[in-house]
Formats: sequence, structure tokens, C-alpha cells
Amino acid sequence: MTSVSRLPSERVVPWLRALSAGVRAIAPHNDFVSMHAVLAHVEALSPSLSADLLAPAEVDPDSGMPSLAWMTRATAEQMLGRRAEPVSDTVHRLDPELAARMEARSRLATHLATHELLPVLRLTGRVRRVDQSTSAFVVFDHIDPAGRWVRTRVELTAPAGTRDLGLVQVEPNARIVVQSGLRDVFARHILTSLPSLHVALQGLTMARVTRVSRASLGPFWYPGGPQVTVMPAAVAKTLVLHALHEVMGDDVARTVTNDPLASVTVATAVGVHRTRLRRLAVFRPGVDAVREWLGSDVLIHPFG
Amino acid sequence: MELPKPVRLRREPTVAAFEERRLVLRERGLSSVHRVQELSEAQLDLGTSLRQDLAGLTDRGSAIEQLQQDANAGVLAGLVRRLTARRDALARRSATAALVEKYEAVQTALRRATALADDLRVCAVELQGAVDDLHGTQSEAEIDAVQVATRILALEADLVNPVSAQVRDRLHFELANESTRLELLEGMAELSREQLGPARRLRDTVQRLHAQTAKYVLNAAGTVNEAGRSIQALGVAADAPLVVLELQQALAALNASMAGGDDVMELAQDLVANVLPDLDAQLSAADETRRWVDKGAGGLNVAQTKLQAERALRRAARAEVDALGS
Repeated sequence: MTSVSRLPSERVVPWLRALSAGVRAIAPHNDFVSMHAVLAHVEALSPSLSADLLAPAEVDPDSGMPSLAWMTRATAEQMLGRRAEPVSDTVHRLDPELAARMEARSRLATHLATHELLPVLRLTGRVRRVDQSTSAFVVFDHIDPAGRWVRTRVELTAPAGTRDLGLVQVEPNARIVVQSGLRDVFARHILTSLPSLHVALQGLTMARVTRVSRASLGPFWYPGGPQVTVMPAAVAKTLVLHALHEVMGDDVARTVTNDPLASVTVATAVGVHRTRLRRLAVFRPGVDAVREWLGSDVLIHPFG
Repeated sequence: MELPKPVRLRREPTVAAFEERRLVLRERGLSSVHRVQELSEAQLDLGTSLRQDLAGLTDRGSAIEQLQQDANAGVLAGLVRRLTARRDALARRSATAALVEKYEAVQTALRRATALADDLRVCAVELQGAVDDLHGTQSEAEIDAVQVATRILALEADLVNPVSAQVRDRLHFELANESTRLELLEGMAELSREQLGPARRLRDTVQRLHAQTAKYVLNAAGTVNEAGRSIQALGVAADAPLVVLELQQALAALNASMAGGDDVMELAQDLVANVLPDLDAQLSAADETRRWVDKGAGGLNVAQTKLQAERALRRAARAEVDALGS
């Protein structure tokens, strides 16, 4: 069976706090999944809010990210749509432990009712313009097999007046209708490289794919967490959250890779350029060790 | 002549207080039965939806297995061929998406079961609170009844002695008063005693339902989580398609754990069909027998009052002996 690492209960709150701090330090832009959703999801998982309701705290051993099972417990609770309810004096008096648990339920219900969480798989779309040209974009958010939080964003442009862009339909009132089955296309291509995805999507649309981006948060390295064989001991002792951003399309002037950990380079179609940028949120005391290991060009956002 | 000192009670028994208490207990009993009925029905719904979600998940597993067989038969080449026909590409379902969708549904059902287990525990604790309250009211009324009964016997004793007409009148008046007080106190104790049985039974039933639901949740949680891990790791591979054995194992384990839900469902069904209507009837019967205000107050019967006082004292003595023996 597939393995996961379970965090000791006393480590869960500081671990989640560090993960949130890393996300804040990265300050992910719109090509990434929503930062608010990430922070709200992480907060929901924290025992300081939900006690042990969403336990056990499981982590993917390879990426150090929260496991799908842990993440979906919060999503499932949100889908239940429970309301916060006061705990009676009788329960407080006769079973304080149960009272504490029910109070955590109320806190969690209030939190989930007022915050958006990260979806496991979600596809949305929006029209950008319908004047000189028809332009729209679709966003596919998902949690990948390693537990990373990934957003794929595709921009399409067609001549003015075009309604059928293949992947999406633009209605007269500028509303967008995403093709049924498109979500499955994205889901089937979770592991497809960005240039190949670009080619595949271009084959599906009557419009031009003007920009494709894929941005992920994770892995998250922490002491006792994922081990990269070449990682020096000083780096293994610190906290590092990765943010990888890949983009290709009209607005990319030249192919640039700034990813000290990239091992493979993928060719793109002629005339299409691609950038690949890895940023790292690093716990402040470990910044020098990481810089020494990966070189001075690495983009580091210290936190803590 | 000085009359035996009046007894000061913590709560003076009145017909209004008795009637109010009767209504409170009746309302609480009904609302408890109603609450338990809601919880039992939620349990039944949950069992049904879990079954359906699981069936969907298992179907998906079979579809992947079929995909694997097709792949072995050489259809794989067709499946993984570069996307050429747009319609085909958009029509082809993703095994990952379908599995994740179903997994989320099963996970939600499991969360609902977990929440239901907590609600049942809260309900059991609140019912225990009601049982404690009934014991408290019964015991308080019995202690007060003993004091009043003792005074009645003292007044009776004075009545036997030659006394002036004025004192006799006063004694009659006091006896009538104390007789009503005793009757109300005994009524109050009886009311609690009669409600105790159904309340205790309801509490025990909810406790049993909670224990079974909690056990079921515990068993299911592990396998649902394991299925989640497998889906996370293999869902993408299934789109290739590749290994399905592990996923099949996870689904089989999930299936087995969900089968444990049958006991809980049977209990819930029994609760809704038999236990709750029965308890409801018991509560109504107990209520009907104690409609004190309908009885009306009769005139003073000294002999009856004496008997009543003696009975109250005997009952208290018996309760004391019972308490020592338990």
C-alpha cells in the first residue's frame, strides 16, 4: 500500500504554521492557486482551530505536502455544510472532552462557511474581451499525486465575433461555457509536460492558445521530512517551500530557465518560448545553507 | 397548646408547579424521542448514500480494470495515441477525475458519519443529564415527603388528645394543608419515577447506536484514507493506464469496511420502527396516569391522610434499605 508519514500530534500546529508562513513569503500571484484558499485550508487543518476533527495529520513522504486524504477531510466537512451550534451546559458539565470537541466543530463550521478551500480538481473559465478579438482563459486547479497544489492556466484568443473557441463557448452576454469533458482532458494531462500540453490543447481548440502556465506550490522540506539524496545536512535541517512557475506563449520573449533543481529540458515548438522559474521560501536561519548549496542565483524568500 | 412546627421545604409544592413540571417532562421526553428519531433517520440515509457512493467507486475500479485488459489486448495503443479527434478527446473520461469525484463523495459520507457519531454522543450525554435531573427531583420530593409525613403523624397524634375546639379546627386545617403538600410531593416523585424508565431506555439505545456508529467510523476511516492514498498515487497512473492491483485492493478493503455499516443500519431501522414508537407510547402513558389537576381536590379524610403519611414513610424507609443493598 502507498505510504504516508504521520506527523506527531505536537508537531502539527507548528508544522502548519511554518507551511503558511512559507506560502505568505512566496506571495503566489494569479498563476498559482489562490493564496487565500491555501491559507484557509491550512488553518482548517490546524488543531488550534479544529482540534483532532481532521486528524490524522498525514504527509506525502516524497513531497512533504499534506496528503490528499488529510486535505479532503476539510473539503468534505465543508460540503456537509454544518452550522455552528452552541454546546449545552449539560454536555460541558458531564463530558468536558466532548464539549471541547463540539466547540471545535462549531469553530470549524464557522471557518468553512466563510472561506474558500483548495479543490482537488476544479476547472473554471472567464471571458477577457469580446471587442477587437475574443479572448478567454480557463483555470484548472488540482492537487497532484505528490500532494503539490497546482494551477494550470490557458489563455485563448480568436478573431472578433468568434463564439466557439473549442475548449469554451462564449455566449452573447460574454458569459463563458466550459466544454464538458475539458476538465477530464486536464486531469488526463496532469503529468504531461507544459510544451506537450500546449500542443495537445492547440489541437483541441479553434482559437489560438496564446499562453499556457503551470504553477505549483510544493514540495515542502522540513527536518525529518522528504530527503533529497544530494541535500547537504544543513539544508535538511531547515524549512523550504518550493514554488515552481512555468509559462509559455506570446508574452514570453525568450526561453529562460532559472531552476537549479531542473534535471530535464524540454524542447518547445518553433517560435514558442518558455520560462521556468523556481522560487524558494526558506526559514531564515537556513537561507545561507540553501544559497551555498544551490548557488547565488536561486530566488529565496526568507521567512520566520 | 403549641402545634408541631411547620416544615420549610426547599421548593413549596403547588399544583401549578406540579403541572409545569409535568409539561416540561412531557415536552422534554417528546423532543428527545424526536431528536433520536432524526439521528436514526440520518443514520439510515447515510447508510444508503454510502452504499451508492461505494458502488460508484467500485464501478470506477472495474472500469480501470477493463481499461487494463483492453490495453493488454492492444487497444492501449489506440487510447494513448496522440490526440487527433477533438470530439473523442473531450468525450473521453479521465479515470483520475472520476475516481477523485467518487472518493470525495465517500469521504463526505464518512465525515457525515463522524459528525453523526458526535451528535449521538451529545444526545446520549444530554439524556444522561435528563436522567440525573429525574433522579434529583425524585429524591428531593421523597425527602420532603418524609418531613411532611412526619409532621402529619405528629398532628394526628395531637388530634387524639382532648383539645379545645379552636385547636381542633387548627389541627384539621393544618392536616388538610399537609395532606395536599404530601400528595403533591408524592406526585412529583412518582412523575419522575415514571419518566425514568423511558428516559433511561432512550439513553441506552442512543448509547448503543453511538457505540456502533463510532466503531463503524473507526473501521471505515482507515480504509477510506488508504483508498485516498491509492487514488492519489495511482489515479494518474490509471490514466496511462498502468497498475490497478493496488487500487483494486484499496477498493476491496473499503467495500469490506462499509459492510460493517449494516449492523448500524439495522439498529437504526429497529430504532425508528419499534423502539421509538414504543418509548413514545410509554411516555404518553406515564403522562396520562399523572394528570393530577384532573383529579380535583377532595375533602379532608383524616384516616386516609394518616395512611398516606405512613405510606410515604414506609416508602422512604424501603428506599433507604434498597440504597444500602445496592
